[in-house]
Amino acid sequence: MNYFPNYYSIEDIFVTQEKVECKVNTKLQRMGFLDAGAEGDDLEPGRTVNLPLWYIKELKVNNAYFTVSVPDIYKNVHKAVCEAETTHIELGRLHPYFYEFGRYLTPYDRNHVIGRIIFETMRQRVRHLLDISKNDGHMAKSELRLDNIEAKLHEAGVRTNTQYINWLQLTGNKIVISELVEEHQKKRKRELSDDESSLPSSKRATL
Amino acid sequence: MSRANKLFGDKAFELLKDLERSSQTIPAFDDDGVRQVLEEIKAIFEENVAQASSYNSSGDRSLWPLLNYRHAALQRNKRCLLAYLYERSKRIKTLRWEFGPIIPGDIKQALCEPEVQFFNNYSKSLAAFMCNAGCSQGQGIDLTNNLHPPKSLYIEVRCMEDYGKFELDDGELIHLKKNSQHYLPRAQVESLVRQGILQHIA
Repeated sequence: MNYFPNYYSIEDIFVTQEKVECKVNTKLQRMGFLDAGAEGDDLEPGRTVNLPLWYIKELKVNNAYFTVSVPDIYKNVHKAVCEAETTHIELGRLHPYFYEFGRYLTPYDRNHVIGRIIFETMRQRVRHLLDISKNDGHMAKSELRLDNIEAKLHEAGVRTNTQYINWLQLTGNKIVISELVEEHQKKRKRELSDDESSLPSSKRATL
Repeated sequence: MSRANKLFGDKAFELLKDLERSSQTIPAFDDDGVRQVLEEIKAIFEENVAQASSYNSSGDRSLWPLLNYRHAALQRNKRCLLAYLYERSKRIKTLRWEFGPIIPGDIKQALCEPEVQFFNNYSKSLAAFMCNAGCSQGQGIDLTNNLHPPKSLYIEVRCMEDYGKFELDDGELIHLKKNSQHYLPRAQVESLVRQGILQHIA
């Protein structure tokens, strides 16, 4: 798994689309459209607005316009980390991009805990991840509720495990049909059979 | 006065979301979506230009955060668009390695004209590279062959569908009918196995 957030990486764009709660510090002219409930054209100080991360990360950390507040989920996880109970939390349900989001929010945290929280959670969960990825039976993804990075690691682990077992059992020598081709053929067959059952004149479905 | 939600960047993000969550290998090129995003970019840019020119004449710094926000929105739209195009071109490249030099008709309908040209140019570059890479042996190496280390020279295959006639390198003609089994040299039939026309048995 070669995840490295770059300009083109889609996960990074998804993460920066998340909204963060901020408090407005100074009066901002004609920015009233950012606040859904405001009446006037200007953004009044003291109001809380939900701003997307891609805007916040362009501004300086200690800028005079907004104060970024850290979401509650990190405070809850902080409690769990201190009690060393992180393996049981369903990170995927809390936030699908827990680690990446935390990484972006670290500079805004006044208490300087987020960085440590993310690191400690990952450290405690990695062992558990290793164990479940060695599990042969397919656990449905939705049961596990892993965060994005953990899901990728899990997938890589499962893939390596199957390759290893195939090598041990000498079954991996056949040339296999490529995955894309297989999906394509299945889709074509499905469309053909749908067509024949629905229309009396069998016309080939076009995408 | 009802205010439309002017948080820019939503349409561009939708493009990416649809691409990521689509069940097809390459969904149809969203011409409309891309055009809308481009128009949004133009509109934001023009607003910004008007405001910047007024700042130049008056020197009033109070509207600077608005300028900054619009600039961030412009960059965001641009990034989403570029990522959309880049992801599609990545998938087109994998198409070449999986399906061979010819795209199946229904996938080709989902691509727009420049993307088809991109595929053809990529195919050409790949062919030129393979030709040059095998210079020492006289002919080029086929890089799309032998993706796993081969264990034997000849393999036993069964035909999955009617393919017709297939000519081997030494001129021998094989008639590939459904469910017929053959014992053929690996190097030449590997591409057929990967296409799903033949199936490798034991």
